[in-house]
Amino acid sequence: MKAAHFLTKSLRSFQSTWLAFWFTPVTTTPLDIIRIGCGLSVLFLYAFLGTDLLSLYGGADAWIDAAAAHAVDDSIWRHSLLFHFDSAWQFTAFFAVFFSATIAFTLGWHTRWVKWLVFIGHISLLHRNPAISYGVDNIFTSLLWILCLAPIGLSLSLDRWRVVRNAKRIDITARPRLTTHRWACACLRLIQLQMVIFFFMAGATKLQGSSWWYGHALWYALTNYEYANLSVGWLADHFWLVNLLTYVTILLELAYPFLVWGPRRIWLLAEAVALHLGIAILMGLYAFSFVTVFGHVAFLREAWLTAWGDAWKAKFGGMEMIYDGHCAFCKRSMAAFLAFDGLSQIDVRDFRSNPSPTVPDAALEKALYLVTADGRAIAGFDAYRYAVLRVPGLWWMIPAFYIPVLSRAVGRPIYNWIASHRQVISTCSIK
Amino acid sequence: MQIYPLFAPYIEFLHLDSGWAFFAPDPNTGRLVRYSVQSADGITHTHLLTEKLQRSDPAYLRLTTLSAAIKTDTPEVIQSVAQRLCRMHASEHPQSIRFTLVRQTRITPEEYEAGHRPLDADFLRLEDLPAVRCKT
Repeated sequence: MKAAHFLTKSLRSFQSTWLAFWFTPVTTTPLDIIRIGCGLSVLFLYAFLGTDLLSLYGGADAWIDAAAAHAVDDSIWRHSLLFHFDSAWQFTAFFAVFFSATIAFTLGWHTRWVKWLVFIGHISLLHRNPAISYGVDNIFTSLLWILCLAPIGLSLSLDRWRVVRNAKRIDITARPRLTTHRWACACLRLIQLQMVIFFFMAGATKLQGSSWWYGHALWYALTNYEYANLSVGWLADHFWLVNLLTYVTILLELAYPFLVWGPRRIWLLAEAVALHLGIAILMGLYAFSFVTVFGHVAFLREAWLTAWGDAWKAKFGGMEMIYDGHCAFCKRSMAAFLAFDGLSQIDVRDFRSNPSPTVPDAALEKALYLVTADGRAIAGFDAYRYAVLRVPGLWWMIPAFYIPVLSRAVGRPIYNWIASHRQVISTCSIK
Repeated sequence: MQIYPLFAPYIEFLHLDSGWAFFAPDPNTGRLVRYSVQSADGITHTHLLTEKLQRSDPAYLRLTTLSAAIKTDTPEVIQSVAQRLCRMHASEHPQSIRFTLVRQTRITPEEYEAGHRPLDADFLRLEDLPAVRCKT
């Protein structure tokens, strides 16, 4: 009887731990950071190939024709759409769709379905020429597959921007909360397990090699013509560094799978990122290092992200934008602008219904104002200029607002013209 | 009873069978592919497969990986790459392409400090593959 009770209790405890591990509702922010990293990686891996793309992955002038591709890898499960194409327009259409989908995927636009286009495109390219695939393709494929299963695009995306903008069009002060998902947790766990297996296998296989035991392996890797990105003369002079880095590498790869789950996680992640930076700089494996660093993002704790966001807000936040609430165009553009403020750094005030104690209404009739935490009032174009530098979601606008001389020379007149014609532009109704 | 066939579609489709071994058990020595273009007038020009690429170019690692696939047990790859090179050097009216596999041997830190370099002739082993005729 006691044994049965103990067994039932143990099973219940295991079940609750199991469910908590896999299915605790979490936001999709880490997954969406990985999505952005993977999207940028696709662009680097494929778009930067330029005219080499066709010769590497198909077309009449391919390095590897279909017969050679099957000779390298005869698995019947490695399908590729590209095996079915034979004319130039088909390849052109394929790449046009693939790159458009990749850009949409990176920006998070209709993410729910474009992610599948990116996956099918990548798998087709990978399977079309197995003779040129290396480590980056394997880790990238795993991440992309899990992202396809995950509810991505709910944060750090244009999809999220549209949700917030639509809510703000109804109520400009609205701040829709990020939705949490049980399945997001499961997908994050899958990526974490993928990274752990990847590190463990990388470390365990090295234990079979004498050069890793003797501390020489790094020297052999760095003097390999294919990876010798920098001159290694300085390492020959200080060979103890080679020994140290060799042992640190293998130690980290073996420790990571076990210690990353515990309280030392931040140190393990920092060391893993340092390892990949070293691989990128010393061996020129930029894409591989970039993708892998984004894989480690799966281990970012939600509390860290919140704390970093709060720290950012404390340092740069605290600003108020004062706009004309009777101007429909102003309200629409303000809703669109504020929807990029993911950290909610900007408060808004409609001076028609809630006059500002800092800026007189007469000034606000002419332009939008931004009031900083220390009470400075900045008008018009320069108000936007101030905000885009301090709100991470608006950083993509920095090039437009910070081109020396030109931005102000062109931006101010354009803003002033729009501000003075806002009643004409919009269906403005001043009561 | 084998369970791999049950999972093969998933594993092979997603490249999960790659082994995840990087520079293991020991880092490989480098490998290059040189090729000679024999033109109609008997002149031979020798090139390196990756000679026109910067290391930062994403195509560089693709072609070094392709170099590793050029080996005697995959004649289809040799044939395909050779025909691609024939088309690439069409202006030289090539008759045939001959590959030379260049394998590095290990260089010690002492040898490096003595002024030797990984691509010095003393540290390379060469293997010539049979010439491949260009299809017209």
